[in-house]
Amino acid sequence: MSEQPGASPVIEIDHLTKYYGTRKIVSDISLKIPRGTIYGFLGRNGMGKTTTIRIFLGFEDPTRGTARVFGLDSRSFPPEARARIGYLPEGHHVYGWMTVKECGQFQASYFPAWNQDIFETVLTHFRLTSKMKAGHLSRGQRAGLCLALTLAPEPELLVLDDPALGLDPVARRSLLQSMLYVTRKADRTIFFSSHLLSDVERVADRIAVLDDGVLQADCTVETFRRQIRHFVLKFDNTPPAAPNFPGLLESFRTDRELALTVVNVTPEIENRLEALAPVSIEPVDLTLEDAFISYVGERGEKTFFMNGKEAK
Amino acid sequence: MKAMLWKELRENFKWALLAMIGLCLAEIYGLNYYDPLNYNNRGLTLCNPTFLMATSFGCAIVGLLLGFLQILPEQRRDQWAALLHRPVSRDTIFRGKVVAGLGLYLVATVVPFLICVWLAATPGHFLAPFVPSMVLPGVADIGTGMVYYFAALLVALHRSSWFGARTLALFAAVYLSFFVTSASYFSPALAAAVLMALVLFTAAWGAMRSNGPFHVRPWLAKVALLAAVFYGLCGLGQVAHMLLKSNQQEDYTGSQYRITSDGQPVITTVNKDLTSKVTDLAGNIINDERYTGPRSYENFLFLNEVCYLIGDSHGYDPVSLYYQYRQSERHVAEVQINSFIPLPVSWFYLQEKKYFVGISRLNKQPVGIADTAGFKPAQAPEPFANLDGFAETYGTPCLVRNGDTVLAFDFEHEQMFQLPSVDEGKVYGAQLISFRNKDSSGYDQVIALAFAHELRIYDPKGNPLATLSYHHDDTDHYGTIELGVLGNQAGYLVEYEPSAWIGWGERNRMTSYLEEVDARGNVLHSYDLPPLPFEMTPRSWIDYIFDSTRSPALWFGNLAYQKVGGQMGDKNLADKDEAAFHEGWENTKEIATRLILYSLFFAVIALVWSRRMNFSWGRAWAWAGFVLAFNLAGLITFRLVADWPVRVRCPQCSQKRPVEEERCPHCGAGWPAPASRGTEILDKKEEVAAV
Amino acid sequence: MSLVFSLSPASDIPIYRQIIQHIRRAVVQGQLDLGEQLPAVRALAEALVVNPNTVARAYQELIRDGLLESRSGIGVFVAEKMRQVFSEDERGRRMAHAVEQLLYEALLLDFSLPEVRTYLESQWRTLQTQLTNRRKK
Repeated sequence: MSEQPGASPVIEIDHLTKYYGTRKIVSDISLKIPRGTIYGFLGRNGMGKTTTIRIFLGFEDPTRGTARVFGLDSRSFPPEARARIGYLPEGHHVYGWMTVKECGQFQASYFPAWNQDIFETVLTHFRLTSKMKAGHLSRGQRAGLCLALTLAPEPELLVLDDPALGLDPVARRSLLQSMLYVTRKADRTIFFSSHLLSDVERVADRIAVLDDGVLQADCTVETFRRQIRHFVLKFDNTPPAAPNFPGLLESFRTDRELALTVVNVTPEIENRLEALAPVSIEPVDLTLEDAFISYVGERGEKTFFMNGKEAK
Repeated sequence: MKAMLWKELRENFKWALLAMIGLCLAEIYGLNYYDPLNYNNRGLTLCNPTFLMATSFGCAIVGLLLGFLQILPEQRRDQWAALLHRPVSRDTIFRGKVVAGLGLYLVATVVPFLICVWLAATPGHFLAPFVPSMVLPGVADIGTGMVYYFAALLVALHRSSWFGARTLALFAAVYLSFFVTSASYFSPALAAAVLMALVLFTAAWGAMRSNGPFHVRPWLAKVALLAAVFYGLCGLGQVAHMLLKSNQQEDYTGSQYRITSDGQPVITTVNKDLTSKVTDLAGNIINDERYTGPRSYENFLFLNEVCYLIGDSHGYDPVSLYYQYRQSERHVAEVQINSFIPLPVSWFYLQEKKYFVGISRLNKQPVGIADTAGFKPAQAPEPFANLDGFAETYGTPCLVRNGDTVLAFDFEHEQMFQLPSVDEGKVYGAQLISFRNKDSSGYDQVIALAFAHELRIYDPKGNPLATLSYHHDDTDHYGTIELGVLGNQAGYLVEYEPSAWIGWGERNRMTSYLEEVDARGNVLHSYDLPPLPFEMTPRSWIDYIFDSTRSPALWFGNLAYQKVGGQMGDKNLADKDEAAFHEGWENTKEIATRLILYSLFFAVIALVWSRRMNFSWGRAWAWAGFVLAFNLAGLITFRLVADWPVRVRCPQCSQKRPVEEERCPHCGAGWPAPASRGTEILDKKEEVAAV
Repeated sequence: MSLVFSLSPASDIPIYRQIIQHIRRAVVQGQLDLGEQLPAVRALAEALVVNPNTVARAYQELIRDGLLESRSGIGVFVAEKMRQVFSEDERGRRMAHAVEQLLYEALLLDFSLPEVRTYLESQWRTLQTQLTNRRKK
């Protein structure tokens, strides 16, 4: 998983914009996915994650901007390039009438680098046997089958769109293990979108956060956590309203406390907080999930007063 | 490829099987369906209208279903992406699907059809003979169903709103159906089906290749899609035309000549309210109950056509008017005998093989044939030298032209005789004429043969009765000779009408001639029947619209085709060309001007519209040229097929600008970066420590 | 040696920090001897189901702190002698922080200073005995 600075990125998205009709789904996204990273793609539903993936895999055309994979423009992939990309779309679709074995045979006939051992290993991992009918599998088993089909050709780039959707904890764990297994070879890259922040925290090197089609964050998990801070200001009497400054994600006022979540804390912000004259300012560590929810959630102030009064 | 074939076949085999069984049942039902009261459409076995309804609708539905089933269930967005995400070109995947789909389609349609062919061809099942050409309508329908398959593929694959190019592809197939069911000959019908299949296949291929936009498709696929949408509009227009016209009341006030049983020519006029009035040739009203009351038809004389042209045929083709390939009579004509007791043997004339075959009503086996040698057992047939193909099979005896003689077949007594007995010149027509016997209330018959210069009349046994010379020389233009017999054979009425090859326009301007002659051929009375004023139903706005929106490319192309064809020797085309540029010159000029004006108008609209939508000049002119060639249909096709840019207001100059362009065409501004919210977390990748 | 422990992923403590805490505890409690080799980065990562980079980061920080040392080509080991990499001020500060935690707990539980001292001495003795016993093996 070492990165050589200057190595060409596996996926390169450059000022990508996509409209559906007059609605802007993806807005001027630029992203470079270096070889060998595990990249998490986060964002609420409907914010453009799946669209972005479909575009750089060549299933949609960009409205403006370009997307390149392995240096090849997504609009004109040579078919052989697809052998190097494993794609696990959302929904874990299979052909219900095929048995597990037939699914494998069908897929194997297309991918020259098919590794039957990997296929069978992943199947065993998810407790699947050859004769099972794909249509009778549970959600988790289907996910395992699709994962096996995607991993067996040993692709250099693995693109997973919400792979843990609908999976039970055991299946989710198996999925994570499989993802880590893939990266045993140094040049393997994984790009996946997910809602499960705890899983993202475990395996992702870097994350990109998409909010309303705009790229809001592109950093390591550590940086993301570091930049989002939570403060609890205690007051003797009713706390004032939080001052409005860029970087304030949300605030919560009670009878004696003002809690703030702030991103990109600067000394100036700290000064403004102190200027409110609280009794104490306590920094609180946030879990990644809480940080994320504050980051992409609703802005603004929430209040909760026990005695029904509200300060002006 | 093999894997895709396996998958597609396995996936859809059960549907194909179901379709096959369904079609089989429908077709066998249609084969057996016989409506004895439907005199107009007595179809035999494979040309039975009910059977053909099963094949035409059935194959179309099977084609549609298979096409949709191969694409739509797999098009839940990400499953389609999963299918396409393979290291093979989209062409290969498309090919795999099409080969499998066509294979399944053929299994589903050909197997039931072959079963029906076997049933019809094996003696003992139906009271009808079998000739190979009877399979042609079914084959054409199977070909048409294939077109529906490709139409379904195109509809499923093309990414656009449903009300647009997608549904029109279906109408293109409907348009083809219209053509196939109304064509005179099989070859053009099949050729049209093959061509339309190619067009839709290519358009579907283009839809598969592209993620939606039009301009990235291969040029062949672009042309095909334009053609598909254009023909779809034609189909839609045809359906609309049919529906609108059927609602219209046809105002018909027509007059025609009729002859009373006394031999008087009169003019009958039917008014809008269906009352009729009768006048003599001078226009004086005749108030005779016999002619105006109910059962008036009993008091009129009917003339039968003995021949429809004498001499040069000018390329006239009777098939196109009377015997289309889908009609039973084109292949096998059933002998109809006006007898109260049906004969134990039903006789049929085989049009191509040119002899009669008799089939027993009891066990439906062939019992014998009737050919130039007469009635004999069913072997070694000696066919007639009947060059223009058709025998009269109504009434007895049946008359068949055999070179320069005419053979008469009495099917009731299974006897044949020949007339004229000596070679007396070329026979142009033979007809059995019935006439009301004045004494009894039954009908008698005479046989009339038309020669180059005279009519010869014989009794039903072949004994000559009379010879009537033509009193008009111009038999080239007046080659349709009609004959009526006055009651009790007191005399004959001979009418000279324009030859069949003469076009409708000129025909309506020609006078006809009627002569009353006695049994020895002397003319007793002679009447001129000038063309009656024919009140055309006034051209409604519907007709105006449909006439004005024809494509100049096709209309002028047709004129050119007629001219060239006429020059190259095709008399039929030469006549049409002549009509367009001489007698019909006014009409031709009017339509040409209208088409050019309307096309220019729509072409200008297309040009302005595309420039407003920020198309480049090159593309705008190309589309304008297309609309100029194809008129209103071209304009609609342009709107539906071209990549219509999505436009939003420019943040700088507030005018609408296409979202796909980096620069605004009005003010040149780019697109602003999304507003920063102050909450961005972006770190440089070099800061990440490498391990 | 098995160095598997459960991580709390949905925690406010970053994963690498949890790993560091677990390794430090293991060394102090004697589960990891001085000089003992730690599992390879990848092996530990797959066992814990975390990104190898995270494990690598934990190891790196512990190496920097002097608790672990890296022998090139062989692997990562617990240092034979704990190198004191911290300055006197830093050592004091860390100690003060830990003591503060302990004393908060004691006050809440209503222990007096002599009682705290008793607890301290007895636990210290137990830990030392454990360490000596393990080293003898």
